[in-house]
Amino acid sequence: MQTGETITVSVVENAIAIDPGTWVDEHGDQLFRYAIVRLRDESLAEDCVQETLLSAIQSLGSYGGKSTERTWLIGILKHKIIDHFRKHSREVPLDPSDTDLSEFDPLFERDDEFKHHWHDTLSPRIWRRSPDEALQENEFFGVLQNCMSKLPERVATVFSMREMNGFDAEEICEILSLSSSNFWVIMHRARMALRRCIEINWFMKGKIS
Amino acid sequence: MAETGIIQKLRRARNLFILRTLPPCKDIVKIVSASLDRKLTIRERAVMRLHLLACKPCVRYMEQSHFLSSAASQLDDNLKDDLFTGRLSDEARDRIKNALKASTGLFALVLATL
Repeated sequence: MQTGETITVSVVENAIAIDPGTWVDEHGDQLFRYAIVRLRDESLAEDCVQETLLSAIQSLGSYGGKSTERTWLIGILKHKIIDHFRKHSREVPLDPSDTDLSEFDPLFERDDEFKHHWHDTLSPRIWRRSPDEALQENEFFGVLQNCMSKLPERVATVFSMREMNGFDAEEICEILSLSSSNFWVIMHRARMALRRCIEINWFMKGKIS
Repeated sequence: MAETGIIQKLRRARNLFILRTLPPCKDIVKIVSASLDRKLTIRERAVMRLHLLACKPCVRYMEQSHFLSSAASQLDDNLKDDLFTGRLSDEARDRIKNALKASTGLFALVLATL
């Protein structure tokens, strides 16, 4: 099938041929996955992919061929998603429940003198399956993603910006208009919930390694 | 092995002292979480270290939170299976291709007129 014109971009020494018509088939799914994990809304993710490819065409001149085409496109998409979060957090204020840690209270309830220490059976377990092996398995990442999808929206956004994009606290607070104390509480909430979720749904399940 | 018996007793006494007098697990896990995102204060670090000497579940919480952190940083590279995230739908694919075609046509036109 004809995919559209090839645009030749001249860089200082060499000219590289780029064909935007092939982008959708070559990178579409990867870009979509990158977006859906963070945005958790199919049509929003599709829109972001489209906007990304359209702005890529506009800024072809600035693509020096230094990174791969995929990396360059992901870079543009990353900025689109951050723009969305910035706008969204201005429009939708933080829900008080996002910074509520009371769901974890039962994990620290005891009858004996050790008040607010871990509950005997709800404390972190010795994992039955190896963490190193989990990182080799695609299915494990599916479990992790599924656990993330159960977090409240704002909590998941903060967690993904911190752990998947590697932003620091200050940057995240600025982009999402968050106070730093709310940031710490949200990150703690995400870590508590996700650690427990992957423990239950992966590490204490199935074969014993 | 009387000596190891004494060491064990001392260790148990130390652990009980730590667990009874210093902040409980509920507070320690907050410090452990924070340690992944910022530099701890000297006091926080001391309290955490002492507690971890006496509390195995909190040690596991720390190790497993570190694991969670490194797993999350590898998530993007491992979302290969369509089952979990789906893929770009055919409608979206066509829509985006058309939008691109319209835009590249325009772009070529602009280039041609320069």
